[in-house]
Amino acid sequence: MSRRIQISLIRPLLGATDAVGVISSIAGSHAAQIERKIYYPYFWYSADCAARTLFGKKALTINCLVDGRGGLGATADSFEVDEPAVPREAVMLCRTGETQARRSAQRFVTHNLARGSKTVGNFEVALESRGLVYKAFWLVRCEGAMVMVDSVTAAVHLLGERAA
Amino acid sequence: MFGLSTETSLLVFGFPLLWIVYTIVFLLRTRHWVTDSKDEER
Amino acid sequence: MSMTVILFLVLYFMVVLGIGFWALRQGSGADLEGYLLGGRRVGPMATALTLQSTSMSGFMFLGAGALGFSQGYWALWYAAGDIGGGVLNLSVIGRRMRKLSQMMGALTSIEYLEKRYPLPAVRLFAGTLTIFLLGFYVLAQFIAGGKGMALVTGIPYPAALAIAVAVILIYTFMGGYLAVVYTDFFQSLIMLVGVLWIAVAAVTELGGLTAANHAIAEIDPTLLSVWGKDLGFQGQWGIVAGALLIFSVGYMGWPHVVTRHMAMRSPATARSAGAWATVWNLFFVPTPYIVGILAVVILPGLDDPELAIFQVAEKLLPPAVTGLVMAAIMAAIMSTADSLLLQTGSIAARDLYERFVNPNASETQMVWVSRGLVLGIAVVGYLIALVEPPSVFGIVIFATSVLGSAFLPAYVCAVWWRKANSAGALASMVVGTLIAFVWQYADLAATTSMAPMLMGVIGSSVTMVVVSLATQTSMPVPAHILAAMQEAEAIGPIPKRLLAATDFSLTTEAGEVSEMLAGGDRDE
Repeated sequence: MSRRIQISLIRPLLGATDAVGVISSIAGSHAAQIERKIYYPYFWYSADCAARTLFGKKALTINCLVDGRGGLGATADSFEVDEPAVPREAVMLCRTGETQARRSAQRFVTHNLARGSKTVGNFEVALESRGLVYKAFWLVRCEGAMVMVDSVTAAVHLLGERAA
Repeated sequence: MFGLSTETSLLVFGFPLLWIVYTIVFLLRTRHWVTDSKDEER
Repeated sequence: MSMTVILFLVLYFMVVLGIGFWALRQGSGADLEGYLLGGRRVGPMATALTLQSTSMSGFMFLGAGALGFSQGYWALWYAAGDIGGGVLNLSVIGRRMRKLSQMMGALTSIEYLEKRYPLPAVRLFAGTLTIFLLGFYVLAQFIAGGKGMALVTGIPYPAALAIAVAVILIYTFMGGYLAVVYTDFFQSLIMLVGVLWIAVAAVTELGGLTAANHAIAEIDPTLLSVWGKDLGFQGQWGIVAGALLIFSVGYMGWPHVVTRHMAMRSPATARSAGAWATVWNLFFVPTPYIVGILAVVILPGLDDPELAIFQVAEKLLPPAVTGLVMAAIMAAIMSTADSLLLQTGSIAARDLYERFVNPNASETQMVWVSRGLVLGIAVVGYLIALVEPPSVFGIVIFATSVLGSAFLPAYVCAVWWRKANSAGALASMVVGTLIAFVWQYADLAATTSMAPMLMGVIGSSVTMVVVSLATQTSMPVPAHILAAMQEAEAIGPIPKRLLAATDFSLTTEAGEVSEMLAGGDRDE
């Protein structure tokens, strides 16, 4: 029996059957099957932003996830977190340091706010670290290719040839 | 055409036609790029 | 300008401000958040509408009209290339650049260049050149805004210019309401309807296109030729080539245009965006040029060709409509200026200051660098626009020629040619810039009949190939970049459809997972 460890997991919205369904509908084939499930690490930051506009301040709170291995930031819809115990070998280790992750988050949130609001830095961003969270991905094999399916957004990405 | 010389007509109508064809070819060659329905709901 | 026009102009801005105010105060937080972060979609058509309409600016309303008025159907050589610029850009670079930029973790197009061509000089040169040339483009908007304001309100140009610049600065520093999707959509709609109305009114006024062309022939038949007034450009294929290239491939050198590829959600976006771009461009690219041409008959006594479109509107449209349309045009000009200033500020702060001067710069410090540069450009721009305003058309063509010459090979080869290395890229950027600059400054186009854009692109392309090949062993393309470029290929029929459904936001994760599965990961 494999060792299990406890992680903070972003509550999945897609189960195994759903994941297979997603791939099948895209590929137009019934040959899709689950290969495995993995858990990908992210640094979770809560960003309190105050955007100053012509009409006063508009505050908003944004969730920012920084890829724990690639170090890239992305914003996320709000989510619930569970604390399940999962097989140790399914968990991908975190490779990014917290300092770099925080910088990434700060930069990412600021960049997107600037782009969206079309202003020169007229907002304040206060980051609060919420620790490490994981997102489950389904790895689905379909007609010789391997695809990963995001268990929260149902987004899909083909995996490299070497992995297939 | 419209009181314009052949050359001018070619300029006015020829290039737009060219780009329409290019765009159609582009769309045909990439018709496998079907939008994932999951994309739309967010 | 009649009081009705001014009344409706003011009314328009009040409505826009009102919508902005309401949306910000009342609108749901999630919507605002989504819009500010560019994450939420409004719907593909609305998105396409606002995206395309943001390309309307001073060039379109002043420059294009002026050229049509002065040179007749010759002006359409520029439109001929422009119509396809969007789809060309998207089909050639779009998807691949999105993928590569994501994999290399680049947020801006200048950063992307350094990541693909790892050499500090690349970023330094590209950043500095871009700021300089975008500054020119901003200048064009200042002039357009100032002239438009002066025409509409009757205020003398210096004061109107000052107001226009001040409003642009307010947008750029305080913004906020502009970011609300509702106002963007509303403004786009008014402008589209307005532009079409002006065109239709102009054609109707002259009794149809055929009658219009006959009337033009009465005044000056050479305006109906493809060689310009007095057949001045006859046989000058080098100039024609330049005109065709400027807005077809020249766009690939514009950082703020190329940056849009980096925000693409999936390959399907490139496809629909390409289709929309062509549909839009077919209607709206030739239109200002044609209105300018028709103005030859409608406004025979016109002093300033740059005001051709504005004055045709004033003459033919009901005052209320003129007011609304003028307001929408002014808003578009200011919005473009705002975007450009934002770009220059961002490049100065991140690509120059943070990268080369102070790597540990805080966000506050970078904001001050941005603001400082924006103010600097505003002051210098105001002075130039005041003292010796160049033609809007001339400025934009110059800036695009240099940017296109400098960056076209760099961006295209970044995704298409594995051998394009840092030395080749840097050399091509420098050579392209020099050739375009010198050609323009020394007015070599007049003597050689070859446009600066044409010579610049040829020069930079040849340089890219020659230098890259010559330095392949001394400066090879790093392995991780070659690997990243590899990923952009398609594999087979079913995988092709899965590839097409790819969500680019997962590209990094996919790379990590692939590596882990292939056994390359030993830290577990």
